[in-house]
Amino acid sequence: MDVHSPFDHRPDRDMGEALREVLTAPDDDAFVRRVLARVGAAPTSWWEVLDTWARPGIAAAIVLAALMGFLLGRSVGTGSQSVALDEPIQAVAEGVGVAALFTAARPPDVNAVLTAANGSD
Amino acid sequence: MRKEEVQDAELAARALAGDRDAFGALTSRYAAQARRVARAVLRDPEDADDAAQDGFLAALRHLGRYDPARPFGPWLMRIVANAAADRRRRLRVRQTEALSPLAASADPGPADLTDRRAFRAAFEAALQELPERQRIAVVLFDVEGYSHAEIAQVVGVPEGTVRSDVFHARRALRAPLAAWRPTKE
Repeated sequence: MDVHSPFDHRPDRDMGEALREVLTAPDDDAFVRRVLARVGAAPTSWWEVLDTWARPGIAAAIVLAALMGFLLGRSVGTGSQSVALDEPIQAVAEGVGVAALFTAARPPDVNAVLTAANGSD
Repeated sequence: MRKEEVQDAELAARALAGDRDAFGALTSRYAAQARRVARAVLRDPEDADDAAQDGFLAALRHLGRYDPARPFGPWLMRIVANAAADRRRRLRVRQTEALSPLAASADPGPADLTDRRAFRAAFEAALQELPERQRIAVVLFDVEGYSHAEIAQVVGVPEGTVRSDVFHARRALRAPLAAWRPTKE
């Protein structure tokens, strides 16, 4: 019997034999035949299918992201068509005066502000 | 590189070129080892064989990524161990702990045979109590003769961690092994 400590940096023959006996399955030849029979078969597992699509998928995502970036850049560049949030305030300011909006003790009447913003007053 | 490693690299190159016999030779050479590694991860023998098969097929698909300057065994065992771990994660959802065929066996037999089965079951149970990485490490080190550096490549941790894993696994298995030894022929 070998006398090994857990610190030993050589393989423990007895431990190896015990593990081999517990873990070794019979008939390796049948297993090899089974594997070779599967060679060339279509992938059947979902992760295998995903694996085959991974590279084209990443490439498509990059192209899509670049296209979206380009389109977004164009829309930002055409600022005249974009909605400016300060326009309603400016419209109100022309009607009631900026100083009145900011110095009034009470908030302005909502209906009056909306009416002024819509320009229908 | 050892002679076997050179042969492995040549077989891998031929298999990559579509030589089915070369892949068959590699599969034959590593079948027992791969099945043991998968069994170390998955308790059930059939699940282990399914995982080992997944590993071989995955290795065939990814042979282009194998570096022929390095040993083939650790590269393949890493794929097999990952396939087994993946399968175990999927099975965990629906798997209830089943008794091993030997532990569950109720066949009456001679006292020494019964003892032997009991000790084997105890050893197997102790092995399954170990963390997955320790099981792989001790099997590759004490059964397959891999170096710590090669095992580090398989399990993806530093070499020092592998030494620690082998140490802890051996310590945990020493008691059931000692009880088993006197029953051996």
